[in-house]
Amino acid sequence: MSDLVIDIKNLSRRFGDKHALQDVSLGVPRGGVFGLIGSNGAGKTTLIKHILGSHYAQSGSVSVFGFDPVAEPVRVLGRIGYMSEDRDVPGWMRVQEVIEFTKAFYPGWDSGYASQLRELFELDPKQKIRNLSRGQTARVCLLLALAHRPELLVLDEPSSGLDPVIRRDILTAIVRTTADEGRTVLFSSHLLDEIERLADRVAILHQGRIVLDQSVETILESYHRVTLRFDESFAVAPNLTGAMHSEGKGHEWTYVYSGDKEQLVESSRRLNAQIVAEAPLSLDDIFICNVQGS
Amino acid sequence: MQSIISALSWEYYARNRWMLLYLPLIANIPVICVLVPLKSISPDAAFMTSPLLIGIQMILILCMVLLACFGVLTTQGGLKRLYRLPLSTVQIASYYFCSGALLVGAQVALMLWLWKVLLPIDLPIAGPVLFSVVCWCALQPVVRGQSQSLWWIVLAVLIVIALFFWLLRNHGIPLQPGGMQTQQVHYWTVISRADWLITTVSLSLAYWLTTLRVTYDRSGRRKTSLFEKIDLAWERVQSRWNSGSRNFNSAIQAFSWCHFRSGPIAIPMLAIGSVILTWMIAGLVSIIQQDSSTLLRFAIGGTYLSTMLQVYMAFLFGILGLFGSSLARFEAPEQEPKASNSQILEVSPFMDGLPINSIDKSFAVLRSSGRATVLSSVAVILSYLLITIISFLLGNPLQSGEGIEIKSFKYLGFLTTSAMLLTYVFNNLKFSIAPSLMRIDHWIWPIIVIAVLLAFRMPLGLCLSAGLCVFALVALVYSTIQSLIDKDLSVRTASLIWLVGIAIAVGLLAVLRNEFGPVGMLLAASLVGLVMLPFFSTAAGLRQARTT
Amino acid sequence: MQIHIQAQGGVPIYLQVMQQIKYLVASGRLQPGDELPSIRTLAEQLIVNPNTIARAYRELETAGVVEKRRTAGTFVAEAGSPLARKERLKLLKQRVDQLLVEAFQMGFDLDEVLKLVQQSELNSQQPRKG
Repeated sequence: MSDLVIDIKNLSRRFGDKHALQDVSLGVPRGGVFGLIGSNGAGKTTLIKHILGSHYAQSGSVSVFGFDPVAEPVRVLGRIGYMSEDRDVPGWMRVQEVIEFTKAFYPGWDSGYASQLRELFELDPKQKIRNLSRGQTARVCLLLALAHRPELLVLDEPSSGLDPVIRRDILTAIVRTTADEGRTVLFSSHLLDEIERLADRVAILHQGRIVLDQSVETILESYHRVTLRFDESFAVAPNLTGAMHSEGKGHEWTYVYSGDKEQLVESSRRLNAQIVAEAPLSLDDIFICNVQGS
Repeated sequence: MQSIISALSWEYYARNRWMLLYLPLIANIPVICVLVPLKSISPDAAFMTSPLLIGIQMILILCMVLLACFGVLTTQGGLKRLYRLPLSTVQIASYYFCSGALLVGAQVALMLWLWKVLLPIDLPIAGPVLFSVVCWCALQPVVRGQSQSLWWIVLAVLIVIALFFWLLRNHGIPLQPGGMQTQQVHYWTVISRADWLITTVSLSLAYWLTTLRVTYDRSGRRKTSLFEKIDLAWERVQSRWNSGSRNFNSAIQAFSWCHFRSGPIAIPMLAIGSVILTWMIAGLVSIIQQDSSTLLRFAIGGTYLSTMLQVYMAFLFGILGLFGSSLARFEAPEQEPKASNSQILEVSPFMDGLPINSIDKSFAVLRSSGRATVLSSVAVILSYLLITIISFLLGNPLQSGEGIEIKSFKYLGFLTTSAMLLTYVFNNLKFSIAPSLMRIDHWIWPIIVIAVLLAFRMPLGLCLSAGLCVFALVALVYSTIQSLIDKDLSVRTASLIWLVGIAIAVGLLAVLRNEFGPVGMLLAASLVGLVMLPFFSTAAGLRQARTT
Repeated sequence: MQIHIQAQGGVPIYLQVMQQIKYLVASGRLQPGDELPSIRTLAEQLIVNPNTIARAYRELETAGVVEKRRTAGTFVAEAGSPLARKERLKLLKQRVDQLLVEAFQMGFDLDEVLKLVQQSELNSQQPRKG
């Protein structure tokens, strides 16, 4: 088994009455891209905060690079490049100042690479960060996360609110990081086409629980949208084992089916139905199906 | 119009009504704590109207008024959220202007009435209520804009100081050091014509300025305010200075720089600024009046003021740091406080994501607050030095007394030292001292000591200062033990700090034993204790802040 | 190399890459012996996970469309190799299947389809004569 960069076991977290995370177990293997999907308020940022040591584990355990991020901030955070959702670099600093500032914390900082990125992103070193546009601030944050060539890149909603040009920069950075041996990326996003393109593995968080945790390939291969044509007409969708969602009317009913192909054929035969159409599902639809039940 | 008022009023009420309730109640607690014991000690009515007591009550009134203004302001929230509604600017500005004034006046009246009921004082209500309304209105033009410049806070402070002088005059307190002891100090019982004039003028001016300001903000074509122009000019100067790249040798240095620049730097800036201003004004006035002693008198007064400002600014920052999240809510109470809004180093995902441990962070924070303290104190000390030199050169023109003991270096030394120590304490309020305040086990011993001393019928001042001293000691001992357990400090460093602290305390007390009574000695000892505290408790405080 | 992929389209990305490369080879836009971009370069260009490209290249290699030369990269396989031809045949068969399904759905039978094919061939030759 490849070693796990992040190993979370049975993590639970409450904020007063609200259960932000419930018995979450997750393993992020080294050298891949791990996508974290969830609706707003599902607990993605809370989970990421646990990984960075900003929250201690109320129950369960969190281990990053084999260390507890709360107890060993330097050992853990020194190997992580982090881009927060708020992108809250101090507004009064200038671009050059924040680069020099951040450099002091990371022994592995590559100044040449940082300058390269700064030129690539077209950032004026003398500008104050509060005078930058949202997209430029995001670029600054990305620069700060990448310049020390971290082993683990953690991006919390990196594309939110950004135009396609900057999103491209961010996604390219993810690709480049992954292509380098042994480096891992963890990012959370709403934009499922990004997840589909980039992630090796995906975990869906819903209301604080992990609903799905598989490789993207497996997910896409195991979900189908099938249309069955029945001999009789039904007012309500006949029960198909393994189906998660159904719609249609009369003789034809469409199901979102997850599981074994042969089982589907068997089940449909038992129901005296013919498979008339079949299509793969996009990650968007799979996500909605998994999340809509509750 | 009717429905608009009722809609806005409902929003007001629904938004944050607890703040409106709680804050005035909380404001009464220190008052009651201070004045009720006094009632038990000396039921003599004359005592309560003695100059000292009136002075205390006046300061309490000022604090209460400021708290009421702050509370109402916070519940109202920023006006920005209303700009997109179909309301005229005048409606928006007037509604909040007038309703705020009414609420502040009502709160102050209510609180003062409570005091009259609970305490044997015959405090006139009308004067302070008028003062509170004027205070509220005067602050409106300053707080209703959206300018990001910190200079607005400075302006607000200056306005409050000016109004405070008005309050002083109305209590018969002349504007001199030692003025509070004179016998003509009295309650503000008479609202003179001058008062009404001041009120009317300032209210109208404030209303006009507020409406102007809100109009400018809403139209979006606001010109860069004067303060922003100053900021921009300063930025241009800075960027020419800082053309070279900044090089940090270590993470601690970098973090210290960042912490310093994001808050504490204002303290030395203010101190240095006011010292320079003092000398400029002093020089100008003395040239006009052709009198060298005026130069010195103004210089002394100005330097005094700078010292007070230094401490006050540190206090403000300390308090702001504690309540920073509620300030961030001021602009958008409906949202979660966004970390990026606060100017002060608070819960910040970016900062928390940096690989630095809490011990190093604490060194950085202590360094930065030390820097702020030292820089501002040096400015003040140099000013005093200059005064001494000039006075020496001019052959001591101020020897005739007038209550200004320029020759008393002891007094000056004490003043600057205590200002420096206080500044340092307030700078470190958030991470080092406030956590101790929150712990109940730190309060048990002080309360026991106060109770015992009160039972022995000791004077209240003695009891309270003894309590404070015990609190500082208890907090210090706890933090020392905790920091040794956490291995934040080595035993050697901890003992060194204790030795130095005790030496300073003993030194202070020895030097000032003639001037200070027991109360003074206890206060001085507590101050030294509170200065030592951050060295032990900051790391733990930062650790607590980083991980929730 | 002109490849475009579409996420969320229902077709797995590695499959899209494979199909497009196969098409480029079959149509001659990629000649035998041409070098394909490295996995990393193509991944950056398309903004997809390099593992996806790696899988596409692997499967293309198994199918004989491309060959991996040690240290040199990935190259289009020689056209003459029987595996390559087999792949091209498979591609063509897909088109034929599609054509037949549509034709039958529209109500034409096999003879009419064959006649159509011959006619198209003649028409495409005519301009050459002229």
